[in-house]
Amino acid sequence: METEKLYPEHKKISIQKNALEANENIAKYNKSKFEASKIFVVNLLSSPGSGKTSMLERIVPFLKDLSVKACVIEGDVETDLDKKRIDALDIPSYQIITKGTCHLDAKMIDKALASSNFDLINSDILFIENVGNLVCPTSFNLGEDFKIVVLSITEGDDKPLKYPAAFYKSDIMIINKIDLLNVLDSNIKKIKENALSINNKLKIFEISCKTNEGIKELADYFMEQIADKRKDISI
Amino acid sequence: MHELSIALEVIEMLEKNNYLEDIRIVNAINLTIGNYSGIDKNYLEFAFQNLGDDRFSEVILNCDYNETDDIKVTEIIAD
Repeated sequence: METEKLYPEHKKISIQKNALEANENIAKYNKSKFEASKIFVVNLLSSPGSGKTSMLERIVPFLKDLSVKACVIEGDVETDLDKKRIDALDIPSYQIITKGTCHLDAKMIDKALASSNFDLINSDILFIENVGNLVCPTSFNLGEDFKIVVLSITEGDDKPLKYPAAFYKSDIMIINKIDLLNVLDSNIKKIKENALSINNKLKIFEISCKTNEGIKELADYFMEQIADKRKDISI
Repeated sequence: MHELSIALEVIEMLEKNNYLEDIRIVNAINLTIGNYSGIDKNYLEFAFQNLGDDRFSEVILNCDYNETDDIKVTEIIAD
C-alpha cells in the first residue's frame, strides 16, 4: 500500500500485530489451564439446527460407559434450553447467554471456567458448543485443542464453499443426519469434496443422531484424543 | 456482525500497546486480511466508524489479502 502518497502529512505508525491479540492472549491462558488439567477441549461450530446438542446427547452416554468424564459449556444468544438437555445427561454444564453476540470469545470461556463448578482436573473432555453460526465463531480462538464443524446433510453440499473459514480452521467435520440421505437429494460425496478442497487435512465422520450410526466411531476417536493428550503431557 | 467485536479487539490491542497515545484521529488502518479469516472489509470499516469512538469515526481501511486466516494490523495513519 502506498501510504506515503495517500497520506503525506500524517503520522505513520508501524504496528505488525495480530488484530485479535487480546483474545489470543486470553485463549493462551485458557489453554494453559486446560493443559495443566490434561483435559481435551473441543470447540463445536455449526449453523443453527445442524445437531450439535443432539450429537452431545448421543455421544456423552457412550463416553460415560467408557468411564470418560465430560463437561459442557453451552453458548447461545438466548435461553438455556440446550443446557437443560445437557443437564438431563447428568454431567456438569454451564450456560453462556451472549445476548445478541454472534460468537463466543476467549474472555467468555475464562469467565465461564471461573464461574462454573467444573472439576477440570478430574474431567477428561470439555465440549464448548459455540453459538450456531458458521461465520463469526471462526475468528475467535477459545484455547481449544480442536475445532469441529458439524454440518447436516439438509444444509446442502455447497456450504463448505459458501462458508470456507469454518472448514479451513476446523480439524474435524461431522456430517450429521445421514439417516435422511434416502429422502433428500443431498450428495454426501460432494459435501466431502467441497470441504476437502478448502482443507485437505479435515478428518470426516458421518453420523446420525436419530439411528446412532457413526456415534461409536466418533466416541472411539475422542477416546484416542483423550489418551493422546494425557500421553503428550506426561512426556 | 462479528466485525464490531473485531473492531473493539483492534482498538484494545492498539491501546494496550500504547499506539494511540497523543492520537486525536486515526485516518486509516492498513491491514492484512486472510481470505479464510471470515472478515468483510466493508463491514469492518462500518463497525469502526460507528462504534462511538470519535478517533475512528472517519477511518478508512486499506487491506491486503492473502490465502491465510490472519487478521493483522500493519500500520495506522493518524493525526
